Amino acid sequence: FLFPIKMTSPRMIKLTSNDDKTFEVERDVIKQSVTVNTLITDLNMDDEDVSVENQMAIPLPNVDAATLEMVITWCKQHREDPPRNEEEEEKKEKRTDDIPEWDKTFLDVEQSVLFALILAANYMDIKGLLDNCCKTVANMIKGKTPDEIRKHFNIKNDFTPEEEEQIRKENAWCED
Amino acid sequence: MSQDSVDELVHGVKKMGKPTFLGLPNEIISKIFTYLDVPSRLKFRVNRRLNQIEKETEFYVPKITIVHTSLIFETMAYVDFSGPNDDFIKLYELGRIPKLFNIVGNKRESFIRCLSKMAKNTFFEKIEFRMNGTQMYYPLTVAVSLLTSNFLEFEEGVNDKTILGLVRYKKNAKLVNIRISSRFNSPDAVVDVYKKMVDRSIKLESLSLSLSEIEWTDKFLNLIGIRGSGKKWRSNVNVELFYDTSNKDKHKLIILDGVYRISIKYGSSNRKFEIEKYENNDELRRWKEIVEKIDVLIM
Repeated sequence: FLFPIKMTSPRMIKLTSNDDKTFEVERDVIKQSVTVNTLITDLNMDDEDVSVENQMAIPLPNVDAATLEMVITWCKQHREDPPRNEEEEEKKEKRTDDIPEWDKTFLDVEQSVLFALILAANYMDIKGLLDNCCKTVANMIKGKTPDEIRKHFNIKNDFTPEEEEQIRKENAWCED
Repeated sequence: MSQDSVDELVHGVKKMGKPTFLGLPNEIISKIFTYLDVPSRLKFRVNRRLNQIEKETEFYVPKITIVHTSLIFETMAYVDFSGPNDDFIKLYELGRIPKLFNIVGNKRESFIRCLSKMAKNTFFEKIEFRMNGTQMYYPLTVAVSLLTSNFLEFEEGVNDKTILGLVRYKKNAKLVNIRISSRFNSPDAVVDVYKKMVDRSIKLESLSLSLSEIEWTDKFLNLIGIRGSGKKWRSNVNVELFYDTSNKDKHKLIILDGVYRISIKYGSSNRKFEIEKYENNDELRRWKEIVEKIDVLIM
């Protein structure tokens, strides 16, 4: 006996950026965003009867379209990642040499883009993306002198001479 | 992912307003600090805001070894420790490890509470805990309390029941080694810990301690189901017993229970207990050939 196989297309979710662009993304992909996932659950959007056309778009007022597109690209790449155990993650050694190759290339971008991604990952609560972004920033800081860091991130030195002297004393032991 | 497709995505992001590093919220900057090695972390204090965030960001301690702890007087506690490396010591000196901050010069209770907080908030891979000093009345309690994060029931002068409660409380804690030399351990406390080791409700690789009262040895053995003396021994558990007399001054009674080796060294004024995991390997088989095996009657 042959039974007809019902082909079901994956459930799609609509997201709207703060510049009014709407993206359709697979439910399974966007589940990595705790913020969006919670909204979907709270709004009963997993209800099978609602087609994507009739579905309300989830507004993301803190994320612009270009950043959202990058976030979705990242989520698609990581859709097969095993679920995170946050308690275990907290206890893990904080390393920065374990960023996956794909992410290294993906995050090899201008600072402002990286910071936009960090803000979006933080707002959308996508821990894996946020971690890898923060590790990338940490890798930019490592090995630089304070002056190099200021220059790199455009940070003004606002210490008083006394404060600066204190910091210099504390840092003396780790100077090359 | 190809560089071209990244560039295409990035182009869109760049058209929008440009977020800066200082536009990131404190909690994100704090998170970035946690990924830095100590020299980078300190050098990253490049303005007042970053300096303040660094101060408030606790340091992650992967390993700490308490090498020596001694109580000089009842109310004064000193702890010397070596961390994973000099970086740890430096951060401690700079007060970036608040869990340890109030140890020196505080009252004993605070000292114990600090250890508890360390156990709760720090991920220990290895703890070597040695306590010396006869002023320390409940060293085993203190050591086991490292396994716990609950001090509500802890009071000065606790009895062994409290120890058992503490051990039960934190089932997944792992201590590699506890070494204690004190005249004030009771056999009940040792048995409590041993039983938890056997039923694996605490993960403790080895326990080493001294019991001062000679009759406590018998009490300890009774408590784990072994009775006897000389060459007549009985047991209600399946164990192997051996005498190791290779050292004339301090002969040893060795009990193998299948997982742990309990060795009791008979000194002139005390009994030193070592309980540790063993492997039934060639070395052990060779050892068994040279020591005297004692027949044990099953009760």
